[in-house]
Order: sequence, then structure tokens, then C-alpha cells
Amino acid sequence: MTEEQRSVSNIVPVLVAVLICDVAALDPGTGKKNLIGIFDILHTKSFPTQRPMSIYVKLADAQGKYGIEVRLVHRETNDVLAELEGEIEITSRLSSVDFFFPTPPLAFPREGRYEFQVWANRVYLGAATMDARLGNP
Amino acid sequence: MVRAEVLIEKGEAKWPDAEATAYRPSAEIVTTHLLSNEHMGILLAAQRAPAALPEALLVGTIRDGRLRVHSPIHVKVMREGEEVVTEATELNEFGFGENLSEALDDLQAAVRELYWSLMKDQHRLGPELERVWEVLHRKIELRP
Repeated sequence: MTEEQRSVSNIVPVLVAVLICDVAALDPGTGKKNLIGIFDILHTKSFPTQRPMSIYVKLADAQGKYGIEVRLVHRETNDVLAELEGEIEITSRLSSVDFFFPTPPLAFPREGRYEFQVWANRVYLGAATMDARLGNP
Repeated sequence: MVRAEVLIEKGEAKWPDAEATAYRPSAEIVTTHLLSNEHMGILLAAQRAPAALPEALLVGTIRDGRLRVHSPIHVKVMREGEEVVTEATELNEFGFGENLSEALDDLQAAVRELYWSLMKDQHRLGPELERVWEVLHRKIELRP
């Protein structure tokens, strides 16, 4: 077993929240995260379409090193349309951590239901669903 | 596969194979003010070809606020005709659906029901269910 494998946590985090929003920003003064324009339905005039967005994730009851993945999946076909990856090291199991992934424009090839699945060390923790629809809100 | 690498330090995105995708970004992406998060390392985004169903995966939640999965549940994924089937191999429980997400939801519901049912009857179980309860008990705990 390599040093890297040894340091990877076996503790399965609890996914407290995963939210999709237009913009997430860190307040440099307070360290608070600001989520602007939380949504779960994307309206568009045509498909395919693309949209930049931010994915906010909050985890609890975790400790150690985690590889975090957020996968954008088309629910009907199981096509993985995008992957967002990051690493996180959590020092105390008693505190929760939150972070966000600002994304490049993500492609939505057709109308339907999509999921942003959250994985930690290759373990599925849960997902936020989002519908992509034709038309105006 | 097209990958976009977003570097925290530089706050910029690179699309090395942007020409290869129909969904390439129309302009340079600048995310400097969004990326100063002490916890995150390098963020990667990818757009890739349709994926086949995974053969297996690990599940770390059964979507019940009273319960916590502390050891991942091993799940085998199969396709049977039009239907996707998920199997928690150690528990001999199955989930079904039109797609993987539905089959996973169904499996999670089945494991939830199994947990509460076996917990209620834990002192009068036969050998096979006792084994299943032992596995469940090892993988899932009640939240305080």
C-alpha cells in the first residue's frame, strides 16, 4: 500500500447539502459562502445548450483526505457529461466543511432530468437533481 | 474526452481539446474571485462520450436521516432488457429502474426497509437473516 493510499480516509462523509446555483462566491472578509440564484430547473430556448454554474457541497462527519468528484449525469441515459474534481483534507470529524465548484459552461444536450452526483473517495454520497426544459420560466 | 483544467492559483480555465467538442466554451472562462477556497485543490471539468453502465459502485448513503452509512455498500449493476438492476451483493437486496439513478433509489429504499425490519426482529432471526443483520449492523449505524 502506498503512502497516498494510507492517507485516504475510510470514513464515509455525510452529505448535508448539494445545491446548484448561478454563482457562488467567497466573502473574503468573513469567509462565508454566498450562493446566488439557487435553482433546480434550467430553462432554455433550444438544445443543446450550455450554462456555467456553481455547485455547492456541504459535508459533515468526515475526517482525513478525500478525493471529491461531482459528476453531471443525464439520468435517463447515464451519460456522464462532466466531472468536477477536487481534493480536501478535513482535520476534525466534529466540524462540517463546505466548498463549491465554479464550473465552465456545462453542456446539456437534450431536455430531461440531470443529476449532480457527489462522490468522495469513489463512494457515492448523493445527488442534486435538475430538470432542463424548453421554454421560459 | 475533453478536460478543462481550472487552476486555483491562476484562476483560469484551459480547454486543451476545445476544438474536438461541439459544446466548447464560447469565451475564456475567468473564475478568479470564485476559487479562493482553502479546502479545494485543482478543479477539473470534463465532457466526455456516453458512458456504459458501471459494473459496480460503492454507495455511502441510504437516504434516511436517522441512519448513517459508515462502511460503503458494495453494489453490482446489471442491465436486464430495458431495466437496470442494482444488487447490494452482501445483503442480497435488489433495486430496479429505467436508469441507474432510479435503480439506485430503489435499492436504497430496499436497504432502508430491510434495516428497520431486521432491527425490529433482530432477536428472532434465522441464520441467513442473522448474517444479513450482522452485515447491516456493521455498515449502517443509528445516528445519535
